[in-house]
Order: sequence, then C-alpha cells, then structure tokens
Amino acid sequence: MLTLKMAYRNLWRNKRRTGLSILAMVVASSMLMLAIGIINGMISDLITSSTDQYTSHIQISRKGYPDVRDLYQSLDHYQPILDLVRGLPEVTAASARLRSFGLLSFGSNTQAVEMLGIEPPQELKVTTLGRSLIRGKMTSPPGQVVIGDALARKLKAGVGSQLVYVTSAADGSIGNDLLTVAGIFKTGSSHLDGGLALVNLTWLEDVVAYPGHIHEVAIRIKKPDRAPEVAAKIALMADDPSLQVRSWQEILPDIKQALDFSGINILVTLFILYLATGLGIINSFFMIAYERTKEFGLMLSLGMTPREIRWLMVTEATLMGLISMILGGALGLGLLTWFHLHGIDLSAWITPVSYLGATFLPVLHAEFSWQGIVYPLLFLVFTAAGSAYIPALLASKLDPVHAMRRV
Amino acid sequence: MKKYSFPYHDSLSFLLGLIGLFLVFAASCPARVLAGQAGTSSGKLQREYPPDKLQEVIRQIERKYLGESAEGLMTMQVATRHYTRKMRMQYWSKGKDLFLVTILYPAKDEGISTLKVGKDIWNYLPKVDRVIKIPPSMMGGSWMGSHITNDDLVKESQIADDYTFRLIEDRDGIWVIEALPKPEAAVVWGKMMYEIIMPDLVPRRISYFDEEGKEVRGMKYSDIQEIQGRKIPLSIEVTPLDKPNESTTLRYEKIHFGISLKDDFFSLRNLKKR
Amino acid sequence: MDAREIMKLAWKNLGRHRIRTTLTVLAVGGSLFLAITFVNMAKGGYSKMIDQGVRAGSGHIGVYRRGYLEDRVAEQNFLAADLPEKVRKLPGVAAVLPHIQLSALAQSAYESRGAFLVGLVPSEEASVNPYIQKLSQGRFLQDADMRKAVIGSILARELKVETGKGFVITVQDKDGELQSEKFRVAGIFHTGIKEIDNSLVMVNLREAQKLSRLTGRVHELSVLLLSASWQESVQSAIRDLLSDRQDLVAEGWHRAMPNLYHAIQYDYVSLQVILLLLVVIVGIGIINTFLMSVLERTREFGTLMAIGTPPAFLRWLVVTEAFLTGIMGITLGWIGGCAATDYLVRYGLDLTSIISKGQEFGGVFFDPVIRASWNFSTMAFLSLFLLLVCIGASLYPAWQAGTVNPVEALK
Repeated sequence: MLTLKMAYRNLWRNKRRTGLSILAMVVASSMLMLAIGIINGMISDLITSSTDQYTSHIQISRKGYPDVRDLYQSLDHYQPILDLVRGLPEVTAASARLRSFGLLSFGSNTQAVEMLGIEPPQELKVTTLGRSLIRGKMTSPPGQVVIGDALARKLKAGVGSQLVYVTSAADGSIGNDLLTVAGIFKTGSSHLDGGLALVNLTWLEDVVAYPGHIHEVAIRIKKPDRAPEVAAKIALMADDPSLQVRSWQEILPDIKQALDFSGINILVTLFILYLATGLGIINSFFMIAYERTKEFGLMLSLGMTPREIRWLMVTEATLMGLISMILGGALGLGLLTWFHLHGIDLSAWITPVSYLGATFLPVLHAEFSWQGIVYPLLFLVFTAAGSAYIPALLASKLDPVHAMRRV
Repeated sequence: MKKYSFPYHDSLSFLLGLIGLFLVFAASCPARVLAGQAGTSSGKLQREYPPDKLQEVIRQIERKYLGESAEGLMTMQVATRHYTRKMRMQYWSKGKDLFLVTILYPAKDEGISTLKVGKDIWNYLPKVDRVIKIPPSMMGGSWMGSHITNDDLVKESQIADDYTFRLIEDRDGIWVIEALPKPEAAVVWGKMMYEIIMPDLVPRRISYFDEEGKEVRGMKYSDIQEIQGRKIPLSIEVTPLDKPNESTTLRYEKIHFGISLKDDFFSLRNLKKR
Repeated sequence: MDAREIMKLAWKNLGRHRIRTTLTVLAVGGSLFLAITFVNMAKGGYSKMIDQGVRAGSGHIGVYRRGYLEDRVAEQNFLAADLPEKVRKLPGVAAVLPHIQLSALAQSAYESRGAFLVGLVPSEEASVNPYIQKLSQGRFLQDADMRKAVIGSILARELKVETGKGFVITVQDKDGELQSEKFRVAGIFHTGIKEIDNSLVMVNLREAQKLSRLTGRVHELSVLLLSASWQESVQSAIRDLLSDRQDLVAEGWHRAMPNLYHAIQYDYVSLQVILLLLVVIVGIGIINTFLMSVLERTREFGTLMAIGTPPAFLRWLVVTEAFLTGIMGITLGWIGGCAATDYLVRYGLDLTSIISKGQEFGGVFFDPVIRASWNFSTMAFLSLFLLLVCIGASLYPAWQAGTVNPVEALK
C-alpha cells in the first residue's frame, strides 16, 4: 500500500516524463486498436461479399443435392424447417429457393442459365443481389426476371425484353414460358453476372411442374463467423438425417482457405504491430530507469531495500499502464467508431474488387471485435509492468555511492 | 463452369437419336449381301468375312437407307426413377440430316416440334410461339444422365468409317459382330457389339462398352414385322446399364418409306406450321 | 561557432551517455527493422501473386486481336506468323507462349461436360506453366505427343477417365461446324480451384489449331518477362512491332486480368494504411525517447550555459546529436531489416503446416510460403521519414535547451 502511494506520488513528481510516456503509450495502443479494427474490417468484407450476394451464411438442402444439383433432390413440406430456422435467435432471415437449369433465349441468342426461384421479400433479407441492381428493379412478380449484366449482354436483351425459358420439368414434360426482364444486376462476379437469373418461386414451381418443392433454404445469421455452430444446431434441431445443413465455410472452402491464409498474414502483421508498440514502451521505461539512476542511489542509501525499489518501479509502470489503458482505450474506441461509420473510400484508386468470386466495395472501414480492443490494452499494461521490471532489477543492484555520483 | 443439367434436351435428342438408329437398322431385309452364307463355323466366318468386308456390309446398310425419306407415327415410353411418361409423335425424315418431329400427345406438350438440319437443332414452342436454336455447346453439354447421346445422331452414320469389325460367332443364325473404334476415331465407346439376325440382317441387340470393356448401354430390338416388303423391328428399348430400372422404349405405330419430301419441307417456317 | 566543433562535441556527448545513446539507437533501429521487414514481406506477397497470376493467366503482356479481352469470342483470333519469334528476340522476354482458347465439349462413354480447351506448345511452357507443378497423375504434354491431353481433376472424375484413357473433344470450327477428336489423357492436374479443375483441357497447339481449322492462328500470345521491371520497355517494343498490324493490341496484365490487379491493389492500399499506422506507432516511440533523453539533460545544458556556451550552439548540438543517433539507428535498422529480408527472400516463411492445400487468391494459385521481396524505394522512404522524425523530435528540446536558465537548471 505504501509502495502504491509512493509510486503514485512519484508519477507526478516528474510530470513531463510521465506525461510523455503516457502519451506515447496512448497513441501506440490506440493505433494498434485501429489497425486491428481495419484488418477486421477487411476480413468481414471478404466474408460479407462472398456470402451476401448469393451463398448466404447457411444452406439447408437434401443430402447430396449440392454436389449434383439434381432437380429431384428437393425438399417438400419445408414449412416446418423454415419456421424452425426463423424462430432461432441467431437467425436474421431465411429464404426458400427452387433451382432449375435450362435455356434462356432472346431473339436468336440462347444461353444456358441457372434459374433461381425466390420469394423476393425474404430473399432480399438474406442476400444483397438487390443492391447490385444497375437497371430496372428487383421486385419480380410471376413472369418477370432479374438477370446478370453479362448474361443480358450475351442475350442482347435489356429491361423490358421478353425472354423465353425452356427446361425439363419434373414430370418429364417440356417446361417453357415467357419472362419479361424487370432488372439487371452487376456484382462483378463473372459467374453470377453471366449465368444467374432470378424469378418468382411460384412461377418457377409452375414451369418445372414441381409445386411444393424447393432445393434449399438460405439463411442469414447475425454473426457470420459463427455459422458452423449455428448450422450444427439447426441440424440437431431438425433431426432429419436426409437433410444437409452447411455453413458458408463448407460451401465456400476456397474463401475459408483464403481467410486462413489472410489469418496468417494478419498474424504476422499483428506480431509486427505489437512488437513495434512494445518496443516503444520498453524503450521508454529503460530510458526512465536510466535517467533515474541517481534517484535510486539516493533511495538505496536512505535504506530502501532493492526489492522495495523494484516493486516501486513496477508499480509506477503499472499505474502508468493503467492510465494509458483508460485514455488509449477511449481514443482507440473513438477512432474505431469514426472509421466504422465513415471508413476510407478508395474508389478514387480502384474500382469494385472481384475477389474469389466475391466483390468488395473499395472502402476500408474498421470493424469492432472484443479481442481487438481488450488484447491491445492488456498488452499495454503487461508490457509496461514487464519492461519496468528488468531495468528495475538492474537499478536495485546498483552501488548507491557510484549511482549517486552520476550526473 | 457449372454443370448444366438439361434433361429436356436429352429427351428431344434422345428421340432424334433413336430415329437415326432406327433408320440405320430398319428395313434391313434387302441386305442380301450376306444372305445364305450364315450358319458356318466361326473360324470359317473369320476367313470368309474379313474385317474390311464386314465394314463394307455395314456401310452398304447405311448408304442404302440414309438417302431414303420416311414418315411415321410412333410412341415413346420413358421410364425414369421419377416418372413414367408416354409420348406420341409424328415424324418426317429425309437422309441422315433432315428430321422434323411434332408431339401429338400428351396435351401439355402438344405441338412442340423439333427440326434438325445437319448439326443444327431448333425447337418450336407453341405455348410461347417461339423458335429456339439449341446452342452448339448445349448439344452435348446437356446430355447428362441421358440414355443416348447426340453422337448417336450425328455419328451413327459414320460407324462404318470409325470402327473395324470382326465376326465373333454365329449363334444359330444370329451373328455377333464386334466393332472396335479405329485409334483416331472421335468416338467415346471402347467397343460395340452387334447381334444381327441372319439372313435378314435385322439387329437384335447392340451393346456399348467403355474402354475397360464394361457394358454401359444396351439397345434391344424386337417385334419384327414386314413393312413395304422389308423386315424391321418395330420396337427399340434402350437401357442405360448404370441406371437400373430406367429405360426408353420406342415403338412404331405407322411407318411409310419412300414418300416424296422436298428439302424445304425441313424449314423453320414449316417447323412453326406443324 | 563551427560545425566541426558541434559535431565533435555531439559525438563526445553520445559516447559519454552510452546507455542512453544505445537505447535511442535501438528504438530507431528496431522501428526501422520492423517497418522494413513488413514492407518487404508485403511486397513479396504481391510479387508472388503477380508472378503466379501471369503464369496462370495472360502473361506479363498479352497480344490479342482487338476486342478479344472484352468479348472472348473464338472468331477473334489472329495469324501468329513470325510475331512469336520477333517478340522472343526482344530484350527482357523470358518466354512467348502462343495459345488457342476455345469453349469445348468433353465426352466419355459415361458423361458429357462443358470444357475450356487451351492449345499450347509444350516445350515453351515446360518451365513456366503453373499446372505442371499441380499434376496429380501422369505427366505434362510433350511436343511430340499425338492426341494427348492434360485435364483437370474434377473433369477427369466426372468423365470417369484416368491417365491413358480416351475422351472426345468437340469444338466449333471457324465455320461454325462441330468438329470432334479423340484425345488420351496424358496427365491430370489438381489445383484446388473448382472452376479450373472442372473445365480446363490442355492439348498441343497444332492439334487445337487443326481441330478448329485455325491453322497458324492463335487467340493469345502470352509474353513472360525476365522480371516485372521490363514491363514498360517490352510492352512498347511489342507495340512498335504491331505498328503494321492495327488489328492487334498488346496489353499488360493489369488490363488482361483486372480482377487480379484490383485484388492486389485493394490489398496494397489497405496495407499502406496499416503501414501508416505502424509508422505512427514507431514514430511516437522515437519522439518519446528523444524528448525524454534531451529533457532529462536540463542540468547538463545549464552547466554549459553557465560556462558561456551560446544558446545557438546548444540548439545545434541537440539537433546534431539527434541526427547522428538517427543515422546510427537507421544503419542498424537497415542491417537488421536486410538480414531479415534476405532470409525471407531465400527461405521464406513456410506456412504449409498451417494451410493444407493450394488455393485461389484473386484467381491465381496460392503457395503457402510467404516470401519477401526487396522494396528499396519504400525502405529509403521509411529511413528518410524516421530520420526526419528524429530531427523533428529534437527541435522542441533543442529550443528548450537554448532557453535554459543556468541558475534554475543547476539548482
């Protein structure tokens, strides 16, 4: 207790020195928090952009369907599972999808397409294709279709064009009907832009003669990184071995690998950032100890034990660390919040980036994570305490007479 | 690239393929080339009918019937795991390159017509009143799970050129001929086996094998009738051996050879009219 | 007052406070070491992405028929003639790879699949084609091969073929007619990239040309350079060669592979921001160290003032000490940074234990060994910046030193 009081008093004896050290620690730790926040923002952008356009976070389908995408491997009586999923607290929205492969034709141009039957209001809560619309509108009542920009170019069709869709219906008959282009989207992913068409679920059910069937339930959850756990939970609750519940990590293994890879790059980057922060702090405390050699000599000659001096110094450093933690935390959170809300717009330099089939808007923004806030601050306090200990160890072994002679 | 399953096209091309095959082997009665020479031992057959002579025989059969025009009514029964379906249609053909087919039944598909000229295929869809040309990449790209491939349609007529033939045995008047693809031939099969009823030269069965010698597909010909003086099997059953309980049976209800059809009968305009 | 005197005294001062000097030099050196290692590793990452990207894709420079990059239509081919030989003779060119690129149909006794057919000259590709390293079965093509193909693993599985087995390739020839040819599988590659593994078929260029009736014609001349620094000069040299062929264009990989370019740009810009933050972190550390070390010397300056040293001399002394410390720190930082970079250039940071398979990164392969690459301009910039930080950090204490009241200071 005495040590604590003394340490506290010592801090304010040399205000300038203490202030400088605290300032350095505050700036370094808040920058570290901001850097981690920006890195988190990049990761979340990669996840968001790769899942939000089409994949969603979790998909429920008949076991085996994802590999072959066979029309008949469908889900019927899917309302209970849809209700179950929508009732989960982790789930934001769930959408039923029916998928068919066929030919889309306009004039003399015909293209093979993936036709996705959706319920527009639900689907728009799950995926963000609606936001990539460049022409027309997203709402697709029966008989209207929203197609990708590259597909539109290949068909030489525009908004209002009347297309024909032909496919093999579930009963073996030849399903065909007219579709009017309601909107055109452009995601930057050649796969979606060149081969995907969105129609109303009931319209597609009718054309493929498969009422009451869907192929997948696409689910959006609140925390995308927790998709595997939520998927496991859904599988457990559904309790139907013929169902397959897959998280985006399973659906998009390449994105997951890229994230793992980024994870390593980020680890290296974080290591360097922490090291730089630590370096500053350590140096600062070595410096302090060095400048106070004379003072230690005085203390020793006044009868303080080396152990007491060590403790005093470590306590001082910890106190400074704690003050910096509060101030740095506040500044860091402020910076994070600003970068979270505003971000740095890079669109002057680069256009939307297509990356592993995902598309980013080139805006760097920060994303919060408790690790990114708590770890830098804890690191700060421990590094401060730790880096004070070594010079304190040396200082306490000083020969008092020799130390005091120093100018 | 996505795996575009497009079974609809399967069934159309399947149909065309069957017609193509049918024309090759239908009306085989005038094939007197080998008549009367059956019934000898295998060894003797090998000697007397060397591969190039067997090939000449097959080629003659092809040539003899490919130039001919025909008109007919047929039913097709398709059994898959998911549905059983019966269709009735009318067809016209001339040579190996010209086909026109119109569905008469079931009502849902009535009027859907297909025109094939050379390697191009068009479909007419009466419901939307549109003609759609099947893009070349889809001609075969869509053949997944199909009992028959587009190759059958285009390449069956080249069998004599692409394969070398060998008479394996004479089983009481039924000749078993093995066809092996020439090394440079662009064919997917590792081997084909014909069973041909002699001396009428009516096919009974054709089996298709992969390169390992595993049978992949079988075609069974039955119900041999005499029409316009020719003996032809009126029923063909195709069985994909990797899909048990699936088959397609094509049956001729009416068939008439040698009718007069101009080439411009097989036009897009006529496709829409049918 | 004379500069040499200041310099001499500054040296002496630094030598006298050996521990303090060491600590400050370490702060500067350590900061620069971290920054240099960071930028060189980042640069290495991009160089690798570019290098693998150009090998798997268009090359550093691609020569195309005008419009091919936009439409990728098979008709947009051109007569290669003597262009490959002419380009190969240009200084800086490592390889010239003529390619035919066609959408095709691959068929076996079991299945049909859409495929992407690439015709290439095996001997030219031998040292550069990225798929050679990815072969999981069989071997790569050779010039003498007749109707041999190297195909992706998923395609092979779906067609149910393996090495030595045959399958039929069908393409549309230049007149729109369908042409088929039987190929035998020479090798099967596995990249882990679904879109490539399930569609790519590589065959000999002449066979692809024969099949599509495009004798002597190509869709792409992919030019690989000895190093990326040749980009500008070779590109303009090729453009000169093309002056009499207005239908052709020579495009850099930035234009031919915009996705890769933008992915790299995105990463690059975000890392610049991280680098900026890193520089702020190390900068504040250095400023802190400097301020503290000079401000603790009030007594010393008071003594000097008391013996009649002019304030200007003191100010210059402090700045000179900072400059010298900065130079020493930067030297130390360069030694450490160069040693670390050299190690990472030679051996890299092997991450194979953490990542199992090859993977896609902006459409190219990812090799899980992080390698550094020299980025001298940024290194120089960082050094200069840190030197300015050192001098900047000494300005305030220098001004303070000149205003010390000797009596107060000596108390």
